[in-house]
Amino acid sequence: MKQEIELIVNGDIYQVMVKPSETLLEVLRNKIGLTGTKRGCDVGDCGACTVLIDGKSVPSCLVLAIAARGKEITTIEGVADGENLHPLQKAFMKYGAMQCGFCTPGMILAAKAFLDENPNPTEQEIKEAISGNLCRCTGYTKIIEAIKAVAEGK
Amino acid sequence: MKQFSIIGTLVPMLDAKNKVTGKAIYGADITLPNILYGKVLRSPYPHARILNIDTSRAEQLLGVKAVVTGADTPRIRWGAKGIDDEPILCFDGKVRYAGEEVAAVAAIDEDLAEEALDLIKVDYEELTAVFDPEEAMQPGAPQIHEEMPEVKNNVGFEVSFERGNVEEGFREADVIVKDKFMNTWVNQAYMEPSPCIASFDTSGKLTLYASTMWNSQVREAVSSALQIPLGKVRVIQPVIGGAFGGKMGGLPIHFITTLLARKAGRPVKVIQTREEDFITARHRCCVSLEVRMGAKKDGTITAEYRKAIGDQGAYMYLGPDFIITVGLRGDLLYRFKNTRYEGKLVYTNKCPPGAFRGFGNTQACFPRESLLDMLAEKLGMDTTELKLRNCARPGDVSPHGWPLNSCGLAECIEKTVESSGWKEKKAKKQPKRGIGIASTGHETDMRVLAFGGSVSILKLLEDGKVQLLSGEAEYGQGGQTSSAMAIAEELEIPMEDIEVVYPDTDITPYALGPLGSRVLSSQVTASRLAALEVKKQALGVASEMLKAKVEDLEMRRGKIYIRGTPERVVTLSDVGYYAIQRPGGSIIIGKGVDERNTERTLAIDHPTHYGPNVSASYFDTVVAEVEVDTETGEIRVLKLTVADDCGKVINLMGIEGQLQGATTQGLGATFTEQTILEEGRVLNPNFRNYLVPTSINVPPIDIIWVESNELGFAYGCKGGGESPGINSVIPAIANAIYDAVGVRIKTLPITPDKILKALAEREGK
Repeated sequence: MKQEIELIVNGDIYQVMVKPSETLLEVLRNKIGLTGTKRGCDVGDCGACTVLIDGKSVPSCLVLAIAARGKEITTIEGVADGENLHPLQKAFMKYGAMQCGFCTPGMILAAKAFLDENPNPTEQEIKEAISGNLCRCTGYTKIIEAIKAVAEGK
Repeated sequence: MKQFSIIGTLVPMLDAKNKVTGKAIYGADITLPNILYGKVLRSPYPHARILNIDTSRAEQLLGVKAVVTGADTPRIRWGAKGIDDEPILCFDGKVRYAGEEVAAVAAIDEDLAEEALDLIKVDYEELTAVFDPEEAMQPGAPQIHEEMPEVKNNVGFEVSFERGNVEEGFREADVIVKDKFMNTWVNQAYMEPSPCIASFDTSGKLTLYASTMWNSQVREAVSSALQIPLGKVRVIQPVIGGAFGGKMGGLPIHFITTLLARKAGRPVKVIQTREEDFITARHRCCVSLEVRMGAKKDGTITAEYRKAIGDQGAYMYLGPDFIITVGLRGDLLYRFKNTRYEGKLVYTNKCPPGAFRGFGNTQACFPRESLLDMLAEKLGMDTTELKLRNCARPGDVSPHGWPLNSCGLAECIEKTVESSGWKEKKAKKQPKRGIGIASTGHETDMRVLAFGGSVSILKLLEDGKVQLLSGEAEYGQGGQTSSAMAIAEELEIPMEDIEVVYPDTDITPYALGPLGSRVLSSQVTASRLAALEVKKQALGVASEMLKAKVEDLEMRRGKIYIRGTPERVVTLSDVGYYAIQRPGGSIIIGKGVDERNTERTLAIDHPTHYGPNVSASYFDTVVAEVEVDTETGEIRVLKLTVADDCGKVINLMGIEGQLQGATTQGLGATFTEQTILEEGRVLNPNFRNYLVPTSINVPPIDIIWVESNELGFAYGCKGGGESPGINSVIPAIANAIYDAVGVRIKTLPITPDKILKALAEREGK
């Protein structure tokens, strides 16, 4: 049976009717209309649907929407401060850290959660932090450069 | 040398901001009023006759709006390249691979559509299937296309050609080497599962939002296979989440979504699951390639013979072009005077392959470059010396009639050798460490159909900004950005003043799409010409406005002056507005056409396949350094040194990214990527078991740009960035492994167990 739940996404409160089996990914994309979160595999293998829940990066395809009630959810649409892009967004542009862009929202959120916890990482730590986010276009080099640049305050 | 203001610099891609903010709209993000959701029923059997399909229960399910089967098609077999053998939705009552589309449903939500699939009852009579091309060619093997009597022993296509005299060439040889190599089924594994949305209006006009590299081809395919007039098919390309050759035109998803929308009378959206994309993507063709090469003592290669057998699965699709390309493209590198090629495509009960970056070169490069290494050893010569002795040079024509014009191959070899410290490393070899080299030549344009170039249309708007219309697909490889850079260079306007329209067959001109590495050079060249035409027309209008002669005018940074009288000036905005609003006015539109002086030698009925199928090619060399753990068989790539003869670099940021990405894909194809089948069924249709490289796997990559000057294209550019990583990385690593531990792996992927087995065999000898 469907039930009404409240989700806090990017600081806004949404009331949505969901089935118990519906994932956060489905609800974000289909009910709330935040399509920046991408569906790449639906089984938690690729990281394209990464969002932040209470600051931690999680694949939203593995989270039931009802389990995200009352938590602070951040999607790619909530990363910039109005017109001001987040430093990671700026760095991804500056360093050419994307091509097709499909992995980019998830990659930026994974990197954000990581840098928020580890502001001074080594390159190896950066590589490990994004190892659950697949990118088929860039070969990761420019993504790693972009994240490193943000960590170093460049 | 001409100084450029923007060409050759680092420019972020035009839609980068959309992509980092989640505002880029991909196919799955699009919705339309009253939309339905489609799902496809696929055959569980690799080879079966369909005795009956009962869709009545599915149709009765509340919320189901359409069920389609082969009976809903015009029963026209479709084919991409002259062999029409694909019956859409198995209308001929036969399935030829596990996963083939048998029926489809559109319903008001995805769950209902899934539920309806379970209610469709298909009675199959299983037929004996055949999966191995060699077995498929045996007498008595199951016939996959018995409706085509001309197909004997499942051989769907055959080609052969000889240049010079191969028999004589081998007689002249002092040393002959031969061996057999095999690549494997790798999947494009683009991050975005394929979406398609179809919608008809009341006039019967179809709009398709298709994640495709080739709008024009999708339009043509849907029009011809489903009998809809060409002008009634509009194909819009949303942002594409990767393609790598896998999202071409005329795929089942395009036909099926259209059929569902037509029958339901409502828009329909089909989004494949990751599993569906793994099972049905038209992957890289598996080719077994026997190759023989002979040389004189001094290293001059006297003859080459190659025999390729491609596992083409159930349908020919792009196969004929592909297997001809293996023959033609594989011989760009060396001055083979005597060469013979025999290629065959064999039907098997598997999903047909299509294009995955490299298209023939990957399959040709691994055997050729491995064998060259073996030849060098037998000659007692350093491989790099053997390469340099035989390599193609500027102004050469390939054995198959492809003009090479600019050719930086020798420079690529020399620079990678020097930069990697090849000679020192060879002289002071460390145990279990090795160094290997390989090269490829890849075409920069290609004549795929009758038109081999690109058309760009550039409009000057009333506010002085310009809008570029080009049908060339963009999915992150950067053609749009590079074309805008050419326009910015010529009109001296900022990048922000250039708007590039995404491909839309109703708006943008016909285009071939990114086949081979053709878009950068062809689209940039066409766009530059369009900008020059706009400039010419703008000067004409300005001369009217300023009452001055055109030859007295000068255009600088978006303004037009009378030379020597800088106070008499009009801006591009004034010109754009005036051009439209003046009495009898007309809009300023520049058309740039990059037409290539080429010939379609890939055509299946071409008598010799000799001739300039391309107008230019780019060359590369990769040096790989590895360390092999002889206990575990694991291989660590210590470093890759990559030289790419890409002509003039247009966007350094873009081409660096292309090269790094392609190289990483090459590492995947070398070590981990392989679709595993059992009785024709894919066992690993997911990222957990189909292993693409992650951020952990990428070794240091040193890049060397060899900017040879290709006169046929704008600024001397060519294609670039793809071939070294996709093609040369594989044999460079295989050769490095041989150098390290003395075992040569001839089938891909190169796995620890193959290394251990080869080491054990060597010890046993």
